[in-house]
Amino acid sequence: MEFLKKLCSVNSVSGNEEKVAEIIKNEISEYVDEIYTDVMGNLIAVKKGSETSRKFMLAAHMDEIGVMVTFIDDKGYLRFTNLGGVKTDYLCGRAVIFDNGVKGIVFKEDNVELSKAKLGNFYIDIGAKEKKKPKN
Amino acid sequence: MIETLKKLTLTKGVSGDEDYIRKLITYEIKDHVDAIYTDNIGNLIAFKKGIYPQNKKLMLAAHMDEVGLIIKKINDDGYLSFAAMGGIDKRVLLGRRVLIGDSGIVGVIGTKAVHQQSEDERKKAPDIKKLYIDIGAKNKEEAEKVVSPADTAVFDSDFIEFGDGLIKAKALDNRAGCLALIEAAKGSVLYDTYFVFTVLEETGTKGAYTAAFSINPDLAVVVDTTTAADFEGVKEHERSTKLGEGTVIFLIEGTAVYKRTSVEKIKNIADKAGVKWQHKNVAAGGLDSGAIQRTKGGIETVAIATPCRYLHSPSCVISKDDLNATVSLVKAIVTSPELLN
Repeated sequence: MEFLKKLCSVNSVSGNEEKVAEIIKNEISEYVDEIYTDVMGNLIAVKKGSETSRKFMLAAHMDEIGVMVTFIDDKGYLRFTNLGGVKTDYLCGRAVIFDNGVKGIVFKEDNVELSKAKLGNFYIDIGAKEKKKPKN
Repeated sequence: MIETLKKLTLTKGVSGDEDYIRKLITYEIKDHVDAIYTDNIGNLIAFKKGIYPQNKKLMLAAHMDEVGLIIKKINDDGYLSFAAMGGIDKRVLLGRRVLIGDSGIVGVIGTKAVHQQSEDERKKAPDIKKLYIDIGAKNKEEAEKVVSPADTAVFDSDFIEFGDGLIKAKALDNRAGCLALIEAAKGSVLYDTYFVFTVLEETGTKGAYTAAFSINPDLAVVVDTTTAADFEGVKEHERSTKLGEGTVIFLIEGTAVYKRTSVEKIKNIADKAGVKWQHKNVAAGGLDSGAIQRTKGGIETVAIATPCRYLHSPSCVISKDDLNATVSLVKAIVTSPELLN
């Protein structure tokens, strides 16, 4: 259970699976014969069997759904896109946490009903005063 | 460079019927590369030996096909029924002039007159099935002398420079990308580089699969165009990309999520070369990337694009500054010592 907690607590949004891969690797490596990461980022652990002529593959995806920031407005609010099936009906008022530890709350624009709201109507408030210059 | 782009956009190359555009690109690139061939599906592949001896393979991919129309049937009255090859907004079709087949037979897209339409019909753009191409033929027999079913048609749209450094033409998606590859092939390259002009992107990124499979590169760079929705009425955060803000470096789009370390590498190369770039802030659209990325045991893939207004219409609009940024970035990529090591 402790290990499951560890797995669930780490940020592993689709396309950003390095951290969870590391945790799994540390946990599983002593039980397998070979372990490596492929080009896409899949973690592959091989364990030799007594039946050598056939190959068996077990697959479990290690990524999770989440959101990615796509735009920061002048007031410091963040707009975002979904990575995976993020549903709009449970977004409002949710707390989110970014990879770097920054926390935010998801809210919806006032003038749109929740039932009609699309992802583009939501924003994340991280309590920032204003937009910082993204690059010089 | 602009002259080459003009030729590239005016040349026909509807998805699945890329012979003419393939010939033109071959002509433009052949003197600058070590080998050039067409694979079984129709991709044009130009190979240039790199200065580095370590046998790393770099693949640059720009699709050379364009959206267009295909003739389905010649009707008894001489009008032509057609279908779209690639994603064409049906609202842009009515009243357009098109060029059909190898000889470029002129036709116009029509539907029944306004006073013959029901209230409902007037409110929305007619379905493609209700449109026809009029080539001025008296009857089916006359029409059959000049066109055949399966002939493809392109928009008859000129190439113009207008406004504040903008270009309008058909097929800027993705002849702008093709141009960037041709320009990059003119200089020396560090890695063994495959300049791939893919077919069938607009109809399901089919060419990219086979090219990626046979080349199996260490890195693939997709060079395309992407939606700019920088106009009145579109909220700032939903504008996808903006003209004049530089070349687009993708984090995510409809076909692929890009590896962050790969994206960072391209951003650093751009910054070092002084190339203006932007991210796309809407995770939509589709590139050859997904097909390439998921070929064989997975291929590291990145994507860049020139922002383009009215994509897939007869009047695609891009900015010359953005085009130059894309060209400069592709040139910087093929000469970057940090790219593959």
